[in-house]
Amino acid sequence: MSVLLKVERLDKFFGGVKALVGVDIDVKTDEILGVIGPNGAGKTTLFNVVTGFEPPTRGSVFFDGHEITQRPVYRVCQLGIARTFQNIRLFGQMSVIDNVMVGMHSELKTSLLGIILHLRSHMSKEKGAYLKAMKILDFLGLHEVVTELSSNLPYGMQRKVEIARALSSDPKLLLLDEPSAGMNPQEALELMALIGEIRKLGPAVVVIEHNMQVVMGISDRIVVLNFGEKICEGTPEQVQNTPCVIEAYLGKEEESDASGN
Amino acid sequence: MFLQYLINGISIGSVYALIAIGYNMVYGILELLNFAHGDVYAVGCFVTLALIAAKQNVVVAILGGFAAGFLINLIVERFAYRPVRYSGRVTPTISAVGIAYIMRNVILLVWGPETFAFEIGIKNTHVKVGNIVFGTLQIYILLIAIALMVLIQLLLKRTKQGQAVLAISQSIPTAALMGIPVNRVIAAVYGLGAGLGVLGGILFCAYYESIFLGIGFMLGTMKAWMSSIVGGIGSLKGAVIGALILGLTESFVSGYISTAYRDAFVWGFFIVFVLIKPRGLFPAQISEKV
Amino acid sequence: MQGSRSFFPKSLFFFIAALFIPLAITNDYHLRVVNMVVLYSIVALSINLIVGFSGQLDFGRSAFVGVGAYWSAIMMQRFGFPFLPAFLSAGMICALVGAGLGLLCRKSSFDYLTLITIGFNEMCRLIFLNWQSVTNGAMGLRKVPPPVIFGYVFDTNVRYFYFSLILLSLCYVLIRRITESKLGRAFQAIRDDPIAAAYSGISVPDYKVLNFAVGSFFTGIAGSAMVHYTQYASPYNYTLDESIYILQMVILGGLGSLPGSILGTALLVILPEISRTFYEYRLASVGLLMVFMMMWAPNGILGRQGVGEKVIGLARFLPVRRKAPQEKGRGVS
Repeated sequence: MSVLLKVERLDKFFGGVKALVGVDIDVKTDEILGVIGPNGAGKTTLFNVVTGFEPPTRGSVFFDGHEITQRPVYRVCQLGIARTFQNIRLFGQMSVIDNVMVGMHSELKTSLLGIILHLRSHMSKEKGAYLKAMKILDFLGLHEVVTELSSNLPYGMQRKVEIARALSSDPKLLLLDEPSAGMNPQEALELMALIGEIRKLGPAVVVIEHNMQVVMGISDRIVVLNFGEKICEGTPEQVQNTPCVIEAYLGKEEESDASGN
Repeated sequence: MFLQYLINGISIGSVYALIAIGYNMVYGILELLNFAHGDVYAVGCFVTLALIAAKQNVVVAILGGFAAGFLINLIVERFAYRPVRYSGRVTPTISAVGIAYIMRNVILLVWGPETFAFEIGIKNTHVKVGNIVFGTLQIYILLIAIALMVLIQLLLKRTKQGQAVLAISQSIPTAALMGIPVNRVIAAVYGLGAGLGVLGGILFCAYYESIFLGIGFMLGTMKAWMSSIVGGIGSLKGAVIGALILGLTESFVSGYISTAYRDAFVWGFFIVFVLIKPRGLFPAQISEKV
Repeated sequence: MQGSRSFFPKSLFFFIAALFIPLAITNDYHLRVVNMVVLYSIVALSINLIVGFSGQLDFGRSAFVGVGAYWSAIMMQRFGFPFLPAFLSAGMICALVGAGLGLLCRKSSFDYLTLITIGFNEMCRLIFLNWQSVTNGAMGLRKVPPPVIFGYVFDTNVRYFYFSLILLSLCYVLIRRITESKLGRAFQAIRDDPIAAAYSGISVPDYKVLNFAVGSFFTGIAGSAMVHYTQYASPYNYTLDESIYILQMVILGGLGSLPGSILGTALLVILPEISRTFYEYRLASVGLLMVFMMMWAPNGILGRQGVGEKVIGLARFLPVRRKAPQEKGRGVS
């Protein structure tokens, strides 16, 4: 397994606020990496900087052999990274299938001439894209709502559409930002299984999660962030037993005693 | 000549400033487009005109106009803007355009498309210093604009009501959760914005000694909008400075380049400015979270 | 994908039915109104592409109509160009200007775009009004020659009707194909969520420019077609109010619905003709329409979840309801 994504000494400061401090992370092809940490630890910022949405204050990001530090978002995604968001970002006025087909934007090579003349080459590519999108939606159990307006769907299904869209570009790396947010335990378990299935399709996955059951269950390795720093890294078992991690979430022992524990 | 253009620029800029303050109250503080600002306050100005024609006292006429603008905006806000407040950016904008048209039609029906004389007893006496001419009214306008700006800034920062407005500009749901009567405050801001616009409009008409239905849109909405953007969205001080800059630009372009194409050049400069400094000169900080 | 054939016969049906209009409408003035509906529909479609599909609130479209009109008229009148080159070059020039404007605005946020397009409209109007030597100023250009294609002169209302009908149909098909393609999806993605669009590999600023350019091409074509019909170009025709009025046609029909644009145009062009009240109180009528529509029917008549859908919601045969526009085009070559 080689290194797919390399984050090197990443700093991100917003004025005086240190969102990321000296973060070093390696993501290997084929692995599922969990990222956990208390709220405000810098997890989403990590995604933002890695994907180019925010420029880092210092440090570099390498993906698949290329340096992608400060490259614009759309370029980074064309190289093979796809992402979902903490607050779902769907194309609300478009149907589910259209949402997914947008994800294929960079692979679908069509020309203006092909479009306006409905050339055979264009039409067959469109059809191919359509079928692929349907397959992905089928895989996620969304085949019944394919033509539904995406903003009409219940929350859990919208999440899945977002994931479908991310998958449609055949990404090498999938970044999921709190995918189980807002889900009940049942749905969260289904999500776990889903991510396991996705992994078989190919991409490496990095998951930001608060749901410990989910993240401990699916991750090969876990990285723990607190106040922008990586405080721990290892397998789920290792991380669960590290004192500094427990401290980050629950506070120091004295404080727990003070609240009557 | 340069000094004359400078004086003219500052004068007209001050008028714009007065109107821009009213506009910016809603646009800058609440980030809601106020496309109908100009046309609403134009109605108020015409009410003042009507009251003067009905032989009312100047102060009464001005207050009447202010009240008219205030009330109209309250009603408009309640029935046309509030229902669509959360419907994206396009919908409320179109609503406002609709209101602007309705207001314009009202003026057209009641008063007509002609230009009327506007005499409210505030005489613009001309003072000559060297070979520069300026009017006392111009000075009053500038002073009033600055005074208002300072006053409103103080009110916003120091009073409970002002704090409420600022809170709403940050986050409406949070403000509501804090117990702030959001709807009432927003309505009041709209009303006050219109009232201030009426005052600005009245002074504008007094300065040019005439009034017609066009003073609304181009002057009020457009120039006020431009001033707010140049000065920086969310900043009253910015609106005033932006207005002055706008006035100066108009004056110098008119004087040195061309009167016919004046607006074309001003728009051109404005577009270039917006591209270089999209947030304006003194922007308040707002960014989108992902 | 088998449902795709459903839209094709519908449009074809309307087209064939429309061919008979000059037989049904013999009053010359009425036919003239119909011609204006057809021509304005092309402008409306182009606005829909820009405002409806890409979410760029352009308040200055009329400027482009004017640019297309003046360019085309001047090419024919002053430089002796034949119609087709003048006509097509008008489209190309507008596409270029549109691209230029798009380049200026591509990183601007929503509000700025609206203001900049208003400014552009004003600038154009002033140029049309003051550049005496080229545009003849306030007098405008008169006796603009009618279209001549391979010797056939379109100088009667009836002949012009067929010219504009075919033009509208071509533009409709082209724009439809664009909206149902990857391009159209990218535009809509930009409208709905520019950040997510970027994360889908779309270079948002570039596509905004492309959208402006393509849309402006059609606006320019329409402008040219109009001026050779009315045979008169005046700076008083290409104002901000005109822009807003045509925009209103698109909104009435439903942003994002191409048939809606034609319907909205028909309504707002014909209404002032048949209703004296509407015409006299035009400002207030349109104003009230806008206000009430935004409150109760922001998606217009034929827009998704618009008035039409709500009223006819139970009809099973109407493919408008809950079907992605992508579905309809597939398989049709």
